[in-house]
Amino acid sequence: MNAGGETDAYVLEAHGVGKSFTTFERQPGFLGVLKNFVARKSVVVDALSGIDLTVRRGETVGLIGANGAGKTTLVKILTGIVPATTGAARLFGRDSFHLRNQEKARLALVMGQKSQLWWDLPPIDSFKLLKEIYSIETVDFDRRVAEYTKMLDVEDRLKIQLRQLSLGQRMKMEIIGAFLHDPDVVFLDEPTIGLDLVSREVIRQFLVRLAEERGVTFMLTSHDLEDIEETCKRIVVLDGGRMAFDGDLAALSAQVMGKRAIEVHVDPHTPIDESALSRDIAAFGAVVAGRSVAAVTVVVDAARLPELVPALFQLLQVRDLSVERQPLELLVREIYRRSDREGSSIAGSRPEGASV
Amino acid sequence: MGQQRPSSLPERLQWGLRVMRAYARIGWVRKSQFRWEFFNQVLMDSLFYVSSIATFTMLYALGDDSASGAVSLAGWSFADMKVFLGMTFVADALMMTFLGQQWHFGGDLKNGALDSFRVRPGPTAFLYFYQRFSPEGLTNLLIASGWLVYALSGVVGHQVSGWHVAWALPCAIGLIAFAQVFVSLFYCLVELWLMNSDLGQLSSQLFTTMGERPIDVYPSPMARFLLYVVPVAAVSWFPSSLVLGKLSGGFALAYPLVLVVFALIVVRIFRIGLRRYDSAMG
Amino acid sequence: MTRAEAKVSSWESDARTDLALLVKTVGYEFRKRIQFRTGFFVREVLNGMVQPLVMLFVFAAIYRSASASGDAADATLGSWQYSEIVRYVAGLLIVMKLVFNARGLDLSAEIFEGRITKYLTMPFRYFVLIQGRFVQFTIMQVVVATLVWCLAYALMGDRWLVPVSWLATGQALTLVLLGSYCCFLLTVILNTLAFWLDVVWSLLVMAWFVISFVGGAIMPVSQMPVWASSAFSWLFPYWMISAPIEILMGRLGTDAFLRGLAIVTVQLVLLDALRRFTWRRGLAHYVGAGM
Repeated sequence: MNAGGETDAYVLEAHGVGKSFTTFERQPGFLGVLKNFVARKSVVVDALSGIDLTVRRGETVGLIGANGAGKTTLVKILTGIVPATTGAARLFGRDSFHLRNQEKARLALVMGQKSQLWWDLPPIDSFKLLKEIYSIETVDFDRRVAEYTKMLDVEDRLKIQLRQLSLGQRMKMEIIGAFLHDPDVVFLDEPTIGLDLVSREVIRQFLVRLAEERGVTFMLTSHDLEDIEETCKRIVVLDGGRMAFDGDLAALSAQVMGKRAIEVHVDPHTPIDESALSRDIAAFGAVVAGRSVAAVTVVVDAARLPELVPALFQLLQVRDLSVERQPLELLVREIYRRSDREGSSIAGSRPEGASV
Repeated sequence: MGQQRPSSLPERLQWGLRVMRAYARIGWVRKSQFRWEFFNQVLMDSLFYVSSIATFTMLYALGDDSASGAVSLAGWSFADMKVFLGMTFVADALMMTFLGQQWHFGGDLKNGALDSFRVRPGPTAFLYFYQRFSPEGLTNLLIASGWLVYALSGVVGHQVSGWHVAWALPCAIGLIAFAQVFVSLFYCLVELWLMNSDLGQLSSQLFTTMGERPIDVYPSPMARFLLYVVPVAAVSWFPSSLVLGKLSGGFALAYPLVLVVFALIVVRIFRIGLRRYDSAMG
Repeated sequence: MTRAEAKVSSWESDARTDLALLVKTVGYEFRKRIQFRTGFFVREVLNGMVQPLVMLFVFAAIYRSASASGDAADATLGSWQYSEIVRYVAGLLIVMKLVFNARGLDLSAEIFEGRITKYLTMPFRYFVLIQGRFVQFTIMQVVVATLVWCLAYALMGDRWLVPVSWLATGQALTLVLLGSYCCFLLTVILNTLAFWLDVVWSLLVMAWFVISFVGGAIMPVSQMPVWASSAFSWLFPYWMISAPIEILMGRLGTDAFLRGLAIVTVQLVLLDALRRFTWRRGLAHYVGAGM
C-alpha cells in the first residue's frame, strides 16, 4: 500500500536486537530459601539475541515460536514498552523506546492475555475513553464502532459489562478498541488464545479485511498456525530467543503444498516388514513418517502420488487410504530441529524488503 | 486518520482535561455499580478524620490539668491545629479523588500493567495515575472542605483577616494539589528504582504520616528535610501556615519555586526510571 | 470398635492431618515472606514503627509546652510522665509488631476470584491453611520483636522499656498473642463477607482504625478521658496493646492481667463462633467464580 507516502520506508526495523534481564536463582526447600536470603546468585537470562527484521508498510507478519521463544518480548521492544538491551528497534523510523505521541497515535497493541479495556464497564464506555485519548472525531468514532461491531458480530454486546462477556466477545471488543483510532501498525499478541473455532474465524476475517482495505501493517503472534496461514503473508519463527526462520509464507506453504501425507490403514494381524517397505517406497522419493498398529503414514512429493499409490496396494494389505496435505506444524517442527542442529537462523524465500 | 493530535500547549492542556473528564465519567459509571464500596470508602475516610480530630482534642484537653493550664503543639494552638487538620483532610481527599492509583503502582509494575499505557499517545504517568478517578474521594473532599471552613471560622477575625484568607486559601489549595501530584510521583519513583522492595509503600507511609503533623514538632534538620528534600510539608504545613499568616512574605513567595524544582527533578527521574520497567518479564 | 471409639479415632486422624498441614503451611509461608530481602526488612522489621515514632515527637512538643520550665521531663499529663510516655512508645514499637494485620491475609480475593474452589474438594479443613499464616506471622514477629528489643536495649539501656519482671513479660505476651488471635479472627470474618460483598478492604481498614484508636496505639488509653478509657477497657484491643505495655511497665498488676485474660478469652470464643457462622453461611452463597 502506498498510503501515507511511506511506500519505500520500513515502518518497523530491528537491527541486532537483544534483550537480557537479571533474575535470581531460587533454590528449593526451606534451607535453600534461607541460603538465598543470605547470599543469592543472580542469573542473566537472554530472552532475545541478534534479531534483525524489517517490515514494510502493509505487510502482514506472523510471529511464531514455542513458549519462551521471545515472541512477546520482541513485540514489547518493537512497541517501545521495554527498551532493547542491545541493538536498535525502530518504529516509523524512530527509536521504539522514545516514540512521540504522533507515532504512538499510529500504533495499536492487542494482548490476548491482558485486557486493556475496563473490566467493570461496558465496552462502549472504554471506547469513549479511547476516543478522548486518541482524539478521534465523533463521526469517525461512531462509524467505526458501528462497522467493527457489525463485522465481528458483537453489536448487541456494547452495553454489557466486559466481565459478563464470553472470552471470544471480550477479545473482539479488545480488537475493536485497538482499531478505533485507525492505526497504521497493529501488534496482536496471541489474540485467539483460548477462543472457539467460530470466534477465531471471525477475528481472522476481520484482520484480513482491514489489512486488505486499509493497508494496515500487522504483526501477529500465535501458537495456532492456522491463524498465521490465514492472515499473514510472511512468517518469522523464533526459537530460544533467536530467529530461526524469516520468509514468505507462500514459499513455506509451497513446500508443504508439494508434499502429501498418505495414511494407509492395514490389517493389524498381517506383519509388515518395515525396512523392506522403506526401501521399496524410497524409489518413489517417499519416506515412512509414522507407524501404528493398524496404519502407516508415508510422505511423498505430490507429483509422485499417482505412481506411489498403486505400488502401496501391492506392497501392503490396504484396507483404506487417505491423502492429506502435510501439516505446516510438521514443517515448523523441522525448522526448530534444524535451527537447534545448526545453531543459526535459516533464511527462507523472503519477500521484497525483508531482511534476515 | 480522522484525528487531530494536540500540538500546542493549550491544545495539550485541553486534551488532558478531556481525558480527565473521560476518566471521571468512567469513575462515576463504575461506582454506580458498586454502591456499597462507595459508601464504605466515604465512611472509611470519615473515620480517619474523626480519629484524627479525637486524638488532638484529647491531647489538647490534657493541657487543662497541666502546670501551664493550656498546651500548644510547637506553637500551634488548638484552633490552629483544626485548620492544619482541615488542610490534611483536603490533601488526603484530593489524593483519593485523583491519585488513588498510586497505591497500586508497585503491584502493577510487577504484573506488567503499565504496558497498555506505554503505547498510548500521551505521558505514561498522566494516563496511568489519573485512571482511577474516585467519586467517593470527591465526596470526602466536600466533607473535608466543610471541616476546613469550620476550622477557619474559628480563626478569621481573631488571628487573620477575612481578606487574607480569601486570597491565601485558593493559593493553598492549588499548592496542595500540585504538591500531592509530585510527592506521589516521588513515592512511585522509589518503587520503580527498587522493585520488589516495598520501599515505595514504606516511604509513602513514613512521609505521609510525618506530614500529617506540623513540621515544627520535629528537630530542625528533620523539618528542613521535609521542606526541601521530600517536601511533604508543602502538602499541609505550608498551606496551613500560609492561611494562618504564620509565614514571612519572602519565604511564602520563594517556597513554591522549590516545589517546581522538585517536580522537574521527579519527572525527569521517573522518565529515566521507566527503562527499568521490565513488564513482568524478569 | 464402638461408635464412640470410631468418633474419637476419626477426630484423632483429623487432628493429625490438620497438624501436619499446619506445619507444612507455616514452612511455605516462611518461604514466601523471605523471598525478597529488602521487602522482608521493610515488611517484617520496619513495619508498624512509623506511627509510634511520629507520635513521640508530638508528645515531646505537648509535654514541653505543658511544663512550667519548658523541659518535657518536668511535665505530667493524665498521670503520665514524659519518661513513661517514651517507654510506652518503645513498648508500642514492640507490641504492634506482634499484632496480626490484615495484610497477611488475602482471603477475600481468594473468595471473590473463586480460588478457594480447589481447596473445598480436598480432604482437609481450609481454615487450617489460613491458621498457618497466623502461626507463621506470630513466630516470625516474636523473633523480630525480640531482636529489635535486644538491639534497642543495647543502644539505649534503661531508657528503653525494660519489663518489671519475667512474670509481667509472660502476662503481657499472653495478652498480646490472644488479642492478636482475636484480630486474626476479626480479619477472617471481615474477609468472608466477600461471599456477599464486592469489596471488603475498606472494612478492614476501618476495623484497623478502630482497633488502633481503641487499643491505645496512638496514645495510652489510661491517658484518655475517663469515659473513653473505662469503655475501651471492655474491648480486646485495649488488652492487646495498651494494657500489656502498662503491665510490662509495672503500672498494671496481676489483677488487671486476670481481668484482661477473661475479657479477651470470652471475645475470642465469640469471634470464633461468628467466624464459623459466617464461613458456613458464606459457603452456601459461594458460586465458584465469585463474579
